[in-house]
Amino acid sequence: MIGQALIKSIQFAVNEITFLWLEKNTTIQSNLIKMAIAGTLAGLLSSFVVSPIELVKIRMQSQNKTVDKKKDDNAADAEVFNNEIDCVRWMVKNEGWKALFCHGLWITIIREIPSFAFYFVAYGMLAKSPIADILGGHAAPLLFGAMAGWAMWIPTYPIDIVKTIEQAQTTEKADEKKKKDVLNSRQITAKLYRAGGLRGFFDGLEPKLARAAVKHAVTFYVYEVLMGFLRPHIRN
Amino acid sequence: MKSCISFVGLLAVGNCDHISQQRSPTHKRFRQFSKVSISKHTSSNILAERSRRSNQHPAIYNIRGGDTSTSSTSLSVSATMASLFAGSIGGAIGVGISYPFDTLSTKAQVSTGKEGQQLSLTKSIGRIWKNEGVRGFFEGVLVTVSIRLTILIRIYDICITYLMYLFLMYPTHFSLPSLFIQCLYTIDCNILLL
Repeated sequence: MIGQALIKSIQFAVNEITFLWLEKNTTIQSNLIKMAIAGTLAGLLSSFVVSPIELVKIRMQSQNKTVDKKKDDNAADAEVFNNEIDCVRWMVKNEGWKALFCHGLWITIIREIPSFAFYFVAYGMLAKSPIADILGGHAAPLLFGAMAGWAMWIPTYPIDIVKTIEQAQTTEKADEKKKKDVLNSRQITAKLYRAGGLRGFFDGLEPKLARAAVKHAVTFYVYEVLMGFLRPHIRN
Repeated sequence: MKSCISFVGLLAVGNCDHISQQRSPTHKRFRQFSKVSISKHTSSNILAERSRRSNQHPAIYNIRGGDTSTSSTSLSVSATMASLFAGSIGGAIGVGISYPFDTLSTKAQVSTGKEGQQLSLTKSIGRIWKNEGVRGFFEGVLVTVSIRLTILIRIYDICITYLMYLFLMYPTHFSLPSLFIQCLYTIDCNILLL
């Protein structure tokens, strides 16, 4: 009973506070700005999951190995991994658990926040536009998803490239000499700018945009097909 | 994000069984999204709405601010589960098929950070093909795909997105238990597309 009363009073207080907050801010804030803030918070919270996953993914993708799983002589001082578990195990052994979860976390947060916000705002704007009526219910979400993906990737791509380079470098605990070679995000940004100017920040953008479109199309198609099987009575 | 979580006709309802006139669930969801984002919530009509709805149960009242006549209070868990399942599988297949593009992009990004000459896109494809075969394009795909299928992480992802959205769009209706229930019942395909 007491707990219930406490919960109710907290709920009531939260409701009041948020209502006042809205009333105070509603005159200056459009829905789009609210969506941007929502995207920002969502991006912030999801970064903690995204960062370690992307770290493993980047380590796997950036290795240069030949068919018989030996190192490519031309490049790569990095390790060669058989599979993802191998990669995680190596990282925990040589870099520690902390590195697995924290290496590149800040730059991931910096990337996720604007990208979620851009995605929200772009999708919201497209959904409101008259194009939505012309395209109809099936084509519109499909096309808008891809377009929102592009709106998300183009402005945040320079941050993504810095993040990838940062996470691709290994930070072995034992090796002091190697540790000094590890650059932070700011140093990487400076290095990239010196090497290639602004254009250097957009290397590899085309496959990323192609990926966004393909991913949205396939996901949407499979979703629709599966929902047709699972809930056939909804659609007729 | 992945993992990014990606976003977003957030307002869809999982429970559209009773609506047969709609052209399709996707269509309905999409229209709802457009409708709500257009509607302006001034403080006066929020007050009115608030008092009108205050006698409804928090768990089932329409937090989305949509028309109550088109959204039922009888929520269906199986619709949610179907959406979650279809979205996870769809997301996993989508990520898997588009993965070679991601590999190309990452390789280009990493080589930009190193000294030496840059490979063009076609040369890069040729080199991966020659050195590593088809598998080279899919290195690391398992961790990315499996995360799409990990139900707990998906729910976390969806709940975070949905909570933030509702909190900011309809702060007057914000209370944790009702939001939690809303989250479980109203998972939408467009959130799962992220």
